[in-house]
Amino acid sequence: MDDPRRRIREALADLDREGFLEALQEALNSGTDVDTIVFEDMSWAMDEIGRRFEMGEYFLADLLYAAEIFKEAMKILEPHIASKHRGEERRGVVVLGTVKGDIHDIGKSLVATLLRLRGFQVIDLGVDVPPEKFVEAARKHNPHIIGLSALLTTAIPSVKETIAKLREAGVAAKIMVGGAALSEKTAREVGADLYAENAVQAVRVAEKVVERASRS
Amino acid sequence: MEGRRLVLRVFEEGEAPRPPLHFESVDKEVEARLSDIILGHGWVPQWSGFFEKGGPFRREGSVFEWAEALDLEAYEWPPVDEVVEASVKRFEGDVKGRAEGKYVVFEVIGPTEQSEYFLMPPRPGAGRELDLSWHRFDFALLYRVKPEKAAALYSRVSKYILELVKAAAEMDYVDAVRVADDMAAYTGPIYPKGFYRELYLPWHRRFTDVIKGRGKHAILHCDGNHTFLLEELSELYDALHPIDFHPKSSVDDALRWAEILGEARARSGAVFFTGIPIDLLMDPEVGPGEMVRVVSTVLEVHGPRKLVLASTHRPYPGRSYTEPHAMEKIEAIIKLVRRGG
Repeated sequence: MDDPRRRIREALADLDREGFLEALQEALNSGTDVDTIVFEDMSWAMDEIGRRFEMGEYFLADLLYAAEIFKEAMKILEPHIASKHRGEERRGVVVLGTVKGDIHDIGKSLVATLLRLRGFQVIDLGVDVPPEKFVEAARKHNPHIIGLSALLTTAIPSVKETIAKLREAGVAAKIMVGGAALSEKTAREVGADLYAENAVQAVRVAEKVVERASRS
Repeated sequence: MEGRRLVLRVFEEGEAPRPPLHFESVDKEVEARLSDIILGHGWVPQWSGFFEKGGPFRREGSVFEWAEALDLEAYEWPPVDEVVEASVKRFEGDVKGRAEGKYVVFEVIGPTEQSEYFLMPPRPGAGRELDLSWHRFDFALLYRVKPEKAAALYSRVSKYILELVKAAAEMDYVDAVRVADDMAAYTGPIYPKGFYRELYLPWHRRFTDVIKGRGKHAILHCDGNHTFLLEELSELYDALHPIDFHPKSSVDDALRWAEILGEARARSGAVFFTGIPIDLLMDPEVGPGEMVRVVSTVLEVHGPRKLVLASTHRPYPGRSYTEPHAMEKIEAIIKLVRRGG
């Protein structure tokens, strides 16, 4: 692997913003393919950041900081990606939102950023999203996964209601839930297909779903 | 035995004839009626507007540009004595006429939470309708991007809090000062590693020195899983609340939490204010029998020593203990405690 690409990986994984942006610019100037940068190098770094988070080397603030660096990089890279991929299929489609009755969006936004980095098309419905809006988005975008986020325990009935409405509407997408209000057990109780304990895990779960779907 | 004596016995002798009870609420009349404890909010009125309009250093646009441009002098900091006076007045409004025979707790917002509020965004429309506020952990980001500016903000805020803590601890009828300062999530630490050693623990040591030096109990309220600092915090504080190390949104989760509580008990010498998960108390689908099962498990696993049975939080906005299903559960808990577990 050439030097800027190695430095992209290492600097991003170490959350060295300046070193990363410098290497990114160098890679672009030398004509490195944008897909290679995003879906191989930055994605590798994201995995490494996730691993360090799970090992207790990085904390939540580090994940938020990483997300901000990703966003900054994506601003630089997006024009290249958009022109390259116009009309092409993305890796998978995910509809995300914080359920009705809750306005917390940090975890959900982090999931959206990390999924985009892994090549997913993400439709972020925002916060306090009523069940009908999830159903409408599911019909419109035909996603692989619908992600429901809830931090407040009082929003759990809303998670349950949203899942029921999606099932009633015959939505085929897998439903993933996460957020401080939910545990694996609660996720099963509300009728979700999938549970993610944190943003890093949400991405891993989404990747598995899409892999399985592409095999079947 | 009156409520205050019960709580003092727990601190002084480790155990009272029955575990004292605290059902914390924004409705102080209800709290006083149900509890051995009354807690007043000595929150700074001059800073309460941040919840609606956003903090004076709120972020707009890129984190990096915002952090670079952030100027602490751009805010007109109120005089410390005015802040202390207004906060004490607010506290007195909560406890006035309700303190008789109760263990009285003066709550201040700690510097970590308060620093986050200085950076929080304006409340969105949905938040207004739901009466909810939230911040984005921009202080955590600021610490990551510009640690020296984050430290300057933290120290500035902490100096106000230190004066407030002093005033609170000097009030005759106040038994304890509770510093509410979240810094953990269920997954563990939120802030970068250095933050805890460089800012959090040194400032909290100063607060607790002041509180204990005036003969009052120091209590820490901190949500999330802070087991990574349990020993240090147990050394600084006389008591910890709410020992919120695991989600408690279902009965099964709460029973698992009770086990974790037992493990934490073995590692800490502090009094624990905990045992009554607000999630279950306010969930209409959870009956009194299930609620009693959870509280009994806590009593059994934790043991009666160094325990004040307390709700883990206040009911969420718009909710109240006076809802019949909640009151039924509260009565069942009171009955359980009075008959000795």
